[in-house]
Amino acid sequence: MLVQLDHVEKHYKGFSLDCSMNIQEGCVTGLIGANGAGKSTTFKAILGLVKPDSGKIRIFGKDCSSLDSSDKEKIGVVLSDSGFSGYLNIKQITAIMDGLYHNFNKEDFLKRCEGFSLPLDKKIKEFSTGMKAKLKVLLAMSYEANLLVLDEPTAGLDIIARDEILELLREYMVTDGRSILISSHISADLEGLCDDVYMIDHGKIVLHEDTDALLDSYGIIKADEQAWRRLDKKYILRVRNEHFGYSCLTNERSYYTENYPNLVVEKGSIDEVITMMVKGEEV
Amino acid sequence: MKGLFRKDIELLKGNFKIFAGIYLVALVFLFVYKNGEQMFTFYVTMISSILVLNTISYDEFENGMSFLMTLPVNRSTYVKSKYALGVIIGMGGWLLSFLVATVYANMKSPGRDWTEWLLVGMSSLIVIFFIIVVMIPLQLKFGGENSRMVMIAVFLGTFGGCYLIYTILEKLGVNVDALLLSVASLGAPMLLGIFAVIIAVSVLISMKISEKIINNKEY
Repeated sequence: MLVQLDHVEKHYKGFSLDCSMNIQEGCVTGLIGANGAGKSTTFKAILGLVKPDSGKIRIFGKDCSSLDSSDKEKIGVVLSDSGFSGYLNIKQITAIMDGLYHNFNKEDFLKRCEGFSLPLDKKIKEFSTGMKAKLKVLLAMSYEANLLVLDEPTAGLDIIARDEILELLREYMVTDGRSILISSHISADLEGLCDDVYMIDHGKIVLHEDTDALLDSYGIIKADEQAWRRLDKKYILRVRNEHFGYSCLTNERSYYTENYPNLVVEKGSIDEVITMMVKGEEV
Repeated sequence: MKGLFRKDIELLKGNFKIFAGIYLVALVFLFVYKNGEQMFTFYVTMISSILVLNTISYDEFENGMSFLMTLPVNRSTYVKSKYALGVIIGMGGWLLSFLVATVYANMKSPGRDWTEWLLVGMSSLIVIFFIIVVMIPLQLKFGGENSRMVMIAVFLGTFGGCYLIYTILEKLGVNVDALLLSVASLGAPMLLGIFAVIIAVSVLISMKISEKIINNKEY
C-alpha cells in the first residue's frame, strides 16, 4: 500500500472531514466530489499541509509526519491553487529543480516543455491556464517520483488541453511501481484513467469502487409508482423522487435487466452515480 | 537548502531593475548630503536586509507557500535558509556600501578618525539584525502586509518600554546615564564581543521562534 488514510479527521467551522482510503501500488486512484466536498483538504492532509485532528496517514509505509526529504523526492505534487512563483520562468525553475531533486531529468523536462510549446523565457504569470496546468504536471513528472498527488490538474482547461494532460499521466503509468492519486470534479477525466474511484461528499467517503465495476455494474432504474412497489430493493443503493416516479441507483444492473425486462435500466455514468449518491436517499 | 537559495536568488534577479533603482537613490545620499556616507551605508544595508523579507513575500504570493512546503525540504530548513540569506545579503550590502563610503570619505576628507568611522559604520549592522531577528518571525506569522503594522507596534513598544525603564530607574535613584557611560568605558573590543554575543543569541532565539511559527502553520 503506497498511501493509507485511516479515519483521518479534520474539523473546521462548518466543515468536517472523516476520510479513510488506500492507494495501491501500480494504480490510478481517483477522488471525486463536488466543490467543497473535501478533496483538497484530503490532499493537503496527505501532503502534510494541514494537520489532522485525529486518524493516521501512512505514505510508503511511514507515518506522514516522519517523511524526510528523500521520501518527498518520491512524491510529485500538483496543487490546483498553488505552484512556483509566477515571477519565475521555466529556465529559472529548471535551475531550482536541479538544486532540489537528485533525480531531476533536466534534458527530458526541457524537451517536454518545448514539445508542449511552453516558452522557456516567459514569466509563468503570463502563461495561459492551460500552459500553467501542463507545466505543473510536467514538473511533477520530472524527477521519477513513485507517487503523483494531483489536485484538480485539469481544472479550467479545454477538452484538448485536458486530453493532453491525461495522455501524459497514462505515459507516466507505463513504468512499474508507480501510482497516482488524482482529484477532479470532471468525472469524464477519471473514467478513462482511474483503476478505482473514491467519491467524497460533505467530507465523508460515500463510495469506493473499481472504475470498471462502476461503469459495468452500476445502473439507474427509472420506475413509476407501480413498478417501484413491485421492485426488489435488495440491490438499490439510493432512490430519488422524480416527476415520473423514482430513479434508483443499483450496483447490480444485470439483476434488474434480467428479472425486470419491462423496466428501463440505464447504464450509469460516474456523474449519475455521484448525483444519486449525493442527492438520493437510502432505501 | 541549495534549491531554496537558488529560488530566492532567481526571484531577486528577476526584479534586478527595481532593486538597482532603489540602490541608485542611495548614491544621492552619498553625493548630495553633507556626511552622507553614513546615511548611504545605513540605507544600503537596510535595503539589502529587507530583500530577504521580499523573498518571503514572493513565496507567499498566490498561495505559493502550499506548494513550497511539498518540496523536498522540511519547514525548519526553509526558516534556516531565510536567516542565512538575510545574513549573507545584509552583510554583503553593508560590506559593499561601507567600502564605497570609506573610499569616498577618504577622497573627500583624508585624515579623519578611522576608529570612530569604523564604529559608526558598524552601527549600521544593527539594522540587519533588527530585520532578521524581529521581522522574519513577524512576516512568517502575520504575512507581508500585517507584519509591517505589527513591526511599527513592536518598534513603538520597544521604544516606549525603554523609556519607561529609564524613567523608573531614574526615579529609583539609579543614574542610568552614568551606567551607560560605564558600559561604554569597557572598550571597543569588549563592547564588540558583547554585541556579537547578544546578536548571536537573539538570532538563535528568533530562529527557534520562526521554526515554531512555521511548524504550527497550515497551508
